[in-house]
Amino acid sequence: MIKLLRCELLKMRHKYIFLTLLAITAAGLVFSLYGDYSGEFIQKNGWCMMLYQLPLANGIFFPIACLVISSRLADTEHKASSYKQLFTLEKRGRIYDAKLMTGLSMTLLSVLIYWSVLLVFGKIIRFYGEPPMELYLRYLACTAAATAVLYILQHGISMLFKNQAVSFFTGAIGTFIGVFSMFLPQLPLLRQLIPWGFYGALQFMGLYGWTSEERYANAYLKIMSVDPAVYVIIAVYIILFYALGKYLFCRKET
Amino acid sequence: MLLRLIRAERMKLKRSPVWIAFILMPIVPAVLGTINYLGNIEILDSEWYSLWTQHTIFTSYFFLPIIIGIYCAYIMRLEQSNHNWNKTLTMPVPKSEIFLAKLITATFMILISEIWIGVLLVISGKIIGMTAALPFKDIMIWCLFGSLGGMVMASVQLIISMFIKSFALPIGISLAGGISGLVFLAKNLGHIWPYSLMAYGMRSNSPQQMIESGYLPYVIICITYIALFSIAGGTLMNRKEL
Amino acid sequence: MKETVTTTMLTKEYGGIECVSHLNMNVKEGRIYGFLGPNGAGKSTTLKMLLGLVRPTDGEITIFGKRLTSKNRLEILRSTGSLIESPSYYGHLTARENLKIYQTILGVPEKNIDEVLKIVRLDRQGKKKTSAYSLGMKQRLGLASALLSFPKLLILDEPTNGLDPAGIQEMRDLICSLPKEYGMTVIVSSHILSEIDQMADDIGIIAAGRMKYQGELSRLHEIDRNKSLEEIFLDLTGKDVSL
Repeated sequence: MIKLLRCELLKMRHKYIFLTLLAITAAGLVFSLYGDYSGEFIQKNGWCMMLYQLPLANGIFFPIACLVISSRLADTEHKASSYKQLFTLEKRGRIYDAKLMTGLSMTLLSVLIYWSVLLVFGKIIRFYGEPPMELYLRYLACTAAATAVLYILQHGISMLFKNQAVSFFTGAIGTFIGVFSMFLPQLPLLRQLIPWGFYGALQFMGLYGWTSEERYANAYLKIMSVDPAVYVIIAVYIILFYALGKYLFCRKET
Repeated sequence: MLLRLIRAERMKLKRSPVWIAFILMPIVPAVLGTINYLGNIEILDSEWYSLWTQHTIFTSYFFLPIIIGIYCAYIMRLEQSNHNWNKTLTMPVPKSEIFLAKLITATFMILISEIWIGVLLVISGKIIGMTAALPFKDIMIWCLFGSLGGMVMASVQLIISMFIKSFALPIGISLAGGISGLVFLAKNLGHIWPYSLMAYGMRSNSPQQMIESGYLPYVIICITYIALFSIAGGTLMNRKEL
Repeated sequence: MKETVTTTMLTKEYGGIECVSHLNMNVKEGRIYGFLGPNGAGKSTTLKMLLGLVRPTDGEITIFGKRLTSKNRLEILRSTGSLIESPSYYGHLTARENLKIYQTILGVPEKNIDEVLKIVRLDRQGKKKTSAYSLGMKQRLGLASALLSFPKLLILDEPTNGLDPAGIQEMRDLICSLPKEYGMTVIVSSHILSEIDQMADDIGIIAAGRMKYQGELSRLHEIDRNKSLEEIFLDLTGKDVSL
């Protein structure tokens, strides 16, 4: 397995995959952090406010990172038709796993980078008080979990379909539904069942009392309860997508 | 000649179900945007205009740019695989026309999806029993201008996809482009930045105001960009060595 | 005898290294010109320059008596058919659909499609997608699209690549019949001498970008009567160069 992982790293040379990932993360950071931080409410509740606002940006950028990275890793082989050769050297399942581990660990690393930059940014901009580390760790775990589900799903699609337009369209349309689901409080099932909606489903910081006339005058932030079913669904999806993708890939004819 | 090339381009795309995405994608905001509209009906009081915003806000900033990026990458990908450039570039036709034919093929799909977005707006408005008069002329202008701005985006994306052999990278660039478009719009430069022209033309943010710069300047800017990028694309294709 | 293609001092540099060097090539009308050389000798680059796919660093190309320039390139291409490197094909389409694309662009009669499909014997493949074709069948499809307009000049780069022995024999017979049947001039490249030996009227041998021998094939035997053709070829191209 170590050998296979090293092969994956070798194949990534000259492909700038990690650089691509960093670029997407950077774009996500710019999008997340670009804004006006001068208001009194925001200054005072900055740390919690970020936790309230970020899931939307995460729901756009991390799905796209998963999509791009999984597709690029799989496409290297599709384009060179080298699966034929790989299959004579190694078990299909292990190839599937090696690629998954490479891509998933890189993507999760970028989540970690994103998260660290957030903390540094909050310090620089001087949000009031110390960051509530417990909440931030919870946020990190939630974002990582949602990203892992998506990566495993996208990895499966990219490996199964030679035409990468398939995985791109699935990812784009899924992300689209996911982003929308965050604006639809009346449809909680949508974001709880669609893998792209987990960023919203796992959001635990809520903003209350905000109105378009009074703005933040009576607003306050409060921790919301997250339906425990979501955690179960995520766990089931991780196992399901992994098992199904690997099963189909092993059965695929080349 | 150009007509023949366009017909040839359409044949190349036969049996690639890529176009389905252009049909499926607008349904998402149509359904979910309408639900959101109904949920917030007390704040959203501009009838058709509010509904239009709900339908197109994410579409024009993020998702249509990505779909255009994918489509352009796919068109170029067909040539890049299986040595097809060799054959395509030894056809006795000007290389600039090959580029133009591809651009028109992509634009056709953009136009279809814009019209579809407009049709979906009318359908969902009728379903929820919108009583105000249908602003037919406005919808037509949004869709047409959106297509024109989309064509600018497609011409840039085709050039990028022509040079970058990876499939994913140009699409990432189109997403970044869409975000840059958002930034330029926020800075009131939406009418001159190639990647914001589509969102600017679709007016999803403020459908009731017509374009501040006026119709004619918008069209002129779009056409100038399209001409510029087409010439660049044709020239670059001419210089392409295999 | 009229010359269909001539090059004078044709040179192509890549990063300061001459890949094709001062090449003078003469292809006579209505003949089969075998372009022979080891792998990497510069055959494909030369043929690409003839088609305007690669711009020469130096030198001139004359085709059909006209100097190849960016202005008359299209006019020359109209009477030229080619198969370069590997066959081009859109994998999700059938052979007929692939040819239909080129037929549309070229503006030649639709019946040409049936005719060339019959010539390369792909006329019974029906709805099979070309991505499922064997290498030999793809090669035939490539030849079919090169023949589609029944051009005056046909440029074939290693057309027997991937064909089985029967296919090679068939391809050879087909190429040999083209000058008589359709009055075509054919340039066919290969790195296998025995293959060219059975087809070509004239040959050019290229090694490391330079023309080592050019002339009638029969004259090559006379260079050294004590040696076989194979040995003469190896002497010319340098034994250490892999074939």
